[in-house]
Amino acid sequence: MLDELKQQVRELFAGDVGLVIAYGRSRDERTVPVFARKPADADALVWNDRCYYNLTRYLTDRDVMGDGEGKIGIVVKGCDLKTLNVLLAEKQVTRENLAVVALRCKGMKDADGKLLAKCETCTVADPDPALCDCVIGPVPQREPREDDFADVDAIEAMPPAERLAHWSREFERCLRCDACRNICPLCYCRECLASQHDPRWIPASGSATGNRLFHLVRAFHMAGRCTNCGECERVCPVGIPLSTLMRKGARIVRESFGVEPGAAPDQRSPLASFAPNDPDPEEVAIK
Amino acid sequence: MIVKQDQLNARLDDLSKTMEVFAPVRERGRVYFRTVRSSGEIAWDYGVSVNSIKECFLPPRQVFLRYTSGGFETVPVANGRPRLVFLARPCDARGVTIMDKVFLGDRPDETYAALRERTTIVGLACDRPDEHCFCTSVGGSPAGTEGMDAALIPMGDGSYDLKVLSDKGRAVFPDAPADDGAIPEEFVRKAEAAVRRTVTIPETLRDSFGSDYWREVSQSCLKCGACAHLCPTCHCFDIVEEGDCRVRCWDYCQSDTFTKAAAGHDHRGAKFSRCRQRVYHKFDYYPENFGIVACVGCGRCARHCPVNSGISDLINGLNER
Amino acid sequence: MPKKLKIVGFLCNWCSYAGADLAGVNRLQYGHEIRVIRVPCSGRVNPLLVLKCFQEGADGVLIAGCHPGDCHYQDGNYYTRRRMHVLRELLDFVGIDRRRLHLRWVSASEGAKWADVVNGVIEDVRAACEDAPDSALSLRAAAGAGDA
Repeated sequence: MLDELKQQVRELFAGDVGLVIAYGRSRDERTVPVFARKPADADALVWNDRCYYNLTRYLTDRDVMGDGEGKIGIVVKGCDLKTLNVLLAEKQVTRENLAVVALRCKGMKDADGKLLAKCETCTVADPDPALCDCVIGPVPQREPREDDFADVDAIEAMPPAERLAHWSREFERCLRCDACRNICPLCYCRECLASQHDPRWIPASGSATGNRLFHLVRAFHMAGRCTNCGECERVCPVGIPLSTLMRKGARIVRESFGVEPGAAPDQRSPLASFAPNDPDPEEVAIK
Repeated sequence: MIVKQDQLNARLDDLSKTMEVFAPVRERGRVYFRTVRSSGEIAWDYGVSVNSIKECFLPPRQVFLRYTSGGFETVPVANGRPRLVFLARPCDARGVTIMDKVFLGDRPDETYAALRERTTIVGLACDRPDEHCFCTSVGGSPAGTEGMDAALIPMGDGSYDLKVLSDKGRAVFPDAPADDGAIPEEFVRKAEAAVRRTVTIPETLRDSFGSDYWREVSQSCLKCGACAHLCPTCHCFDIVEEGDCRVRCWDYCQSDTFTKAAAGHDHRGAKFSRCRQRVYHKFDYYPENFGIVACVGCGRCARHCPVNSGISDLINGLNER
Repeated sequence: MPKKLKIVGFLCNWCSYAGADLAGVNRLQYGHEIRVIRVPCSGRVNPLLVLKCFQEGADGVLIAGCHPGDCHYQDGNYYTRRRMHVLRELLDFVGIDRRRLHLRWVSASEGAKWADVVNGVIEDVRAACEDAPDSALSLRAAAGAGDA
């Protein structure tokens, strides 16, 4: 499978692709994102169970993409493809500029060798060929279990004061390092409102309130857009359960508006659209 | 003086009546330095904590002015109790001495100086470096005692060789006999041999400033602050107005607003130049200004980087150019 | 003595503000705790503005707009409806009382409704403050409380 991937990437360079974002190895033998710019670079690509990075993050990285000339190749897993759909729908990338190489995936593991939570419930291990230029790898024999949202339920079962205390304990550890925001492919604003000085929407310092606001606003901005790649939680140095917060946002949107983010590359963002029977504070439906 | 862990725990419980104790604590599978109220909370068996001990001296958030209807009032530096940092690793203790160069220089920082003065650091020599540690390459050692007022050398059987190294250390352990502070050679030899990673700082570092190398290696960087905030020697800060107070808080050089000037000009806007800046600040400018590399080889940057990059990789890679 | 509440009201110019004005003309009594900000449309209200109100010490926020279907700008209030629903649910999930945030429809002719809405919101916010005096989003909490 790896050989097929390498060959595919070499062929991309023979075409009009100038950069391929893929997985490779660092000097100290760890799996890392790599940026291949010539056919020989394909020899160093890897594919293993530590390829958890959602590489679509780099499609909006201006330092990497340069002036945006030439086609960009990108290696994606099924989960990353959902994020790509949102990027396409939000017009941050155009399909014609991309060569999408999808890989069939057996699941990714964390630093301790444990299967990632999102992989246990994954239904996109075999990416939809309609969304890619090619799909590589054997069809995975996986039996995903259904996502029971147990983590979200556990919090909803708490009385409000306990919920507040729970999240306060989690956010207390937050260093405001912005790793969660910066790894997120959908946090692509050139100037994040959290960095704005005037007006200062979110306090800069790591106070209890400031941290709460930062994560609340990020969760709001992600609602209906986030495809739950789980990278935010993986990268948090202090282990805040950010995925739980994002999944709550996803559940609100699914249950209230019937929308699944990342389902199609032309799907309107739920908060940029509306429906006659949206939940109404006065129970009014539009005729 | 050889002491057992429960003797140390008992001493700690005693000390916590009059001192604020900062020690490693296990939370959700990771170890953090936190304020503890009793020895029972302490995670003795730890490698390197997620956070460093720098927050004991440079708080992540410090309110120093509060506005009132008539003007403002200064806020005193966190309650005046003496403090104890317990079981700090040699890299972390050494990191504090490196920060001292900036904060206790010719214009001492009031808060830092006050906290430093009333804090005693008891260190724990390291017998378990992991694959990211490289303290021996930057002037440190897993058996080092720089920055410590007292040191505990693990004997491997649940007991520790306690060495009092300063007056502050003596105040915390008054029963310990006078000691020359020398760490047993056998321990030093074994500990230093266990550090697998080496970093060679190239002599040509200054000349490599304009190299394309920085553009290549910085591509995967996310410009987040994980490395800086966890680093024992990174110390950049910002001063902001929040509600009704003025606050000093940690900042990080990779942040988009870090070098933004009025009218939006940014002289370090490109990602590669920020990545390069971090390396140069620690390995070129700091040595030039203060005679010491501003890195202790704790490996936190490599351990926690979202894209598994690390400063040792960045430096070693340059050697191969 | 009960705490003096601060409730910020974002009223859309075309319906709610006119409705509030009508209440005034008719000398209808309603709580003074509400401070009104006129906006062109309820759809203009960015959730960040709501959160900023809380940061500056507001105990509650009310957004009032035209009835769905009657928006002066056709569909502004439909977006408000979705937005405030998501915001309220997320606030609730993080443990912040949903009684602090309200969205209501008040038309230009509904002076009496406006008075009722305000009084109802004040009651709700007061109840929320009894359970927790602090909204947990205020930067102006009592000196030394939590954030020192």
